[in-house]
Amino acid sequence: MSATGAGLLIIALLFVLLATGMPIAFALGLAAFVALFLQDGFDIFYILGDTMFSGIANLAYVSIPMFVLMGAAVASSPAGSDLYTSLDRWLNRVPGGLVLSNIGSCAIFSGMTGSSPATCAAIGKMGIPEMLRRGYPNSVATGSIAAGGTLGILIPPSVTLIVYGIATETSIGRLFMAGVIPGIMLTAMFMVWAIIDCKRKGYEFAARSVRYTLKERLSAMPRILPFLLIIAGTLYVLYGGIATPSEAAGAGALLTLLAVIIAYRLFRFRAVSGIFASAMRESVMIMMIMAAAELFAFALSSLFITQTIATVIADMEVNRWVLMAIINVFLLVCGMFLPPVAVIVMTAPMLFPIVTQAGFDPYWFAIVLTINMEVGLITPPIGLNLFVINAIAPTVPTRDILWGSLPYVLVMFLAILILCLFPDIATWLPNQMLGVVE
Amino acid sequence: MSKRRRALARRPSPLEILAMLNPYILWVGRVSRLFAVIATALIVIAMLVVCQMILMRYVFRLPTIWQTDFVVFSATAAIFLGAPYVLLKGGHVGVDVVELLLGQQNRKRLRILGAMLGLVFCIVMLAATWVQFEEAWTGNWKHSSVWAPPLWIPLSALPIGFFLLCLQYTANIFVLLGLAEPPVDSSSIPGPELPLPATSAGANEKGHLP
Amino acid sequence: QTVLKASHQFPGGKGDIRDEMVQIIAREVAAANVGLEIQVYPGSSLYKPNDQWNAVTRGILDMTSFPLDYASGRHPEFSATLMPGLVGNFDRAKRLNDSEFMADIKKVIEDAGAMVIADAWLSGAFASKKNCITSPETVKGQVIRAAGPAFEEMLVAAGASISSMPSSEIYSGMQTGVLDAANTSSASFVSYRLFEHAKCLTAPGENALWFMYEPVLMSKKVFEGLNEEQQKAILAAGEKSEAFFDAEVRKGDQLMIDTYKKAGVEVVEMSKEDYDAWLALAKESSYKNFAEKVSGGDKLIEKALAVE
Ligand code: NA
Ligand code: NA
Repeated sequence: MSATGAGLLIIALLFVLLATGMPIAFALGLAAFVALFLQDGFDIFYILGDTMFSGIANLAYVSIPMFVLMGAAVASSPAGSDLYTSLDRWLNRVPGGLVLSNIGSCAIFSGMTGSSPATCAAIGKMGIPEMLRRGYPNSVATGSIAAGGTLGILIPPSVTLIVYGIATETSIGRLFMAGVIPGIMLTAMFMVWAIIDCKRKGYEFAARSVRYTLKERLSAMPRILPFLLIIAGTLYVLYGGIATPSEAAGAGALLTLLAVIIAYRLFRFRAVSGIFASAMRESVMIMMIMAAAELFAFALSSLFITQTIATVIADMEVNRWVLMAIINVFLLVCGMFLPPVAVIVMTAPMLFPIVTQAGFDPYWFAIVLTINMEVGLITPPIGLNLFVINAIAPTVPTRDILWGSLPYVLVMFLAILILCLFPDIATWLPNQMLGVVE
Repeated sequence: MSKRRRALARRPSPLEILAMLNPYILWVGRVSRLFAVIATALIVIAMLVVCQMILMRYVFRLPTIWQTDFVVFSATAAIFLGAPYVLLKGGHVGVDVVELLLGQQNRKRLRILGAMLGLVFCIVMLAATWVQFEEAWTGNWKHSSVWAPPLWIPLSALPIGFFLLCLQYTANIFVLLGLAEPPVDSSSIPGPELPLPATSAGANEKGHLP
Repeated sequence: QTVLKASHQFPGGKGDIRDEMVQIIAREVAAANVGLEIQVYPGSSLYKPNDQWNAVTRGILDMTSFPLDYASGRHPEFSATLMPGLVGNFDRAKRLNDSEFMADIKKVIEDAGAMVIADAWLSGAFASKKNCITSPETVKGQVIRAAGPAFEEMLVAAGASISSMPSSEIYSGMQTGVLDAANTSSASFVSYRLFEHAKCLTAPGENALWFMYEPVLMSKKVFEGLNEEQQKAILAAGEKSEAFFDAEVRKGDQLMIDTYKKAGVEVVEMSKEDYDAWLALAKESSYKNFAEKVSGGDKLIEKALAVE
């Protein structure tokens, strides 16, 4: 069978399996197994275990549960709502102030976790009910959280950037740094859109008439301070010559846990074990998908499908920006159907040589790819953030969530466009801080 | 509930089956939980060891020989050991779009099909990871590093994890077929419930020993 | 037309000497017109580096350019192919290939189900942002990322701290100060641009400590399944690729030295005394551990050291 035929077959099989609603991880694994079995027969039983195990047995990947743990510590404590209410004191007079508090909280929280669903859940469980209570429509309340949550993988730390770093042998510390300014930019763009939208539709709610004095505003600050300190502390461990990115994750997780336990007096075993248990659950979910994606990527490569696609893309004699546009569309389509880590495991090794060959900066590309993955998080059929919102706000119809997040998807496209026009937004900070690397 | 009753009515002696299967489901759930506790502990220990490693090297300038291997292997083993519990909790995400388009009867059929396919994968992986473990054990394979821990120790997490996944899947299938009661302490069996880091601490987590 | 798969972990199409070795074999075999085609999967695009051994010995993977020490967890004898000070320089490496020592190693390879198509010994260097690493005393107190367990053992014995990390993190490790020094292959020293942070490079010269055996391996099962013509074509291609390697590998070292000098990095070599001091230290640490771990390990080391 030709690579093209085999490729279509394995992807069709994956879709059929996914349609049954079975776990994505097992669908990826089963599709890969069937393809490999047809090719190599029983011999492949000798390498399935190796592929899954060494796919995730990597020091850098240990940081994923660590960064998830960091997020779980904040999310499972009153810290998330504190963060949120303190921001609200500053922003409540602005049109759509509550939406801005949400997006801002998501951005700050993103600095403490590598995961988007975690961000979405941490801020959303407080933010969505509050917005609905104050009269914001369903779509505005859920859309802003769904989109704000996606910042989790753009603003460092980031699970997807870690996976990209491993897959492409690029420096994770540098990737994190490349995400900072685009992350701030995207946050600002989300906020600008929220202001425009709320002003246009005239969302004037009682909340706006409340005036907080400067004293009240300042008195809320100490609540945010520990988070900013944690973020600063982790960054110091990361870039201050103390530990590698993977190690910094462990230190960050411990710092956050201690801060949360002490600040909120979570001295009961039950409360702390709850944090650990939810971190374990999310880590297992992410890492199983990654391990299975390794298997799937192995099958694609073994059938020479990856190489065929790569050659087709590379041989297209097009302008490099047309090439980048094609790659973006390709990533968007992949992102619609699969979670970010799976997409990166499967496509990064294939696209990386093409992209660098065409003269694009690998760190810049990582950021573009990440924003593409962010779009995937809030588009059906598989959007992890959508699932989270569904669980937090079961009364809001999925249609409203989708309508609410659609404008933010367009904002993300705009961000990709801006990044293409001004690549320095991603590359300036790492070049400035870490020196230029070819 | 009427559907379960109908399903049960077709069986020759539903009560007998129930009597046999309910304890199975209960015990599989308990074992999954036990391993979830182990998995969680492994992640926490990995975190502590990472911090110890930073201290040793950065503060005391001492060599760190075993820490890297230990951290990598315990975190990786945790993933496979925790997987059955996450399945029990419906925490492995899937696509529910098709499901939403179907009527109740077909939705259930689809879920059973999905669970069976998942079971097939877990059986395949159980066989493959058993082969891998068995070879590491008999060949006395070591990790190639200074510490050189025997590989069978971390590799044992894979067959254990997949074996428990098989058990957990069969339990889920029994429940879906209406052959047994859903376990009392896990509200939704394979529904696409999301891992919610936001669930209030300790409130509905059962990550401790039964 | 039989299609064979060749896998390795090195960057493809960028002039990496190990990639070139495999590409040459693929080209030569295709040119021989014996109904054989080799698909090359570079850059770990098929197998993870460590997984290649299992796959090639089972005949699932047909060919690989493989750092043999990666399989030392399964065949502890292979540690001898990444043992400090055992090789010394390229001329000696060539003599080593036909020695009794390598015959023993190749026997282990064959018994496991693989065979050597082309020999290759890669050289490596040390670099530090503190002081030049020459004698064992110079490494004391430095945090170093070393390539290979045997080296780590020796460096620990010399009083260094070991930090393990993927080679892609060495750059930022040295930059942020997590690392003081690194030891890796000459090719990596250039491609990871460590000259931007290093103060001093210890180049492999006449007395090089770090050598790693990275042969092109083929699955025995697959090889025996080919017809005689095809087997001949593969062996002939292997010889060509070995000859190519031999001619090119020294250029790689020179390129590294030139690059570092141009970047203003001090470049030194180890003296015979330094080398001997390291060797004495290695005998106390890595060699000793090896002899304890591997039955007949002491004999194997003796055989290697006996080569002129
Ligand atoms: Na983040
Ligand atoms: Na999606």
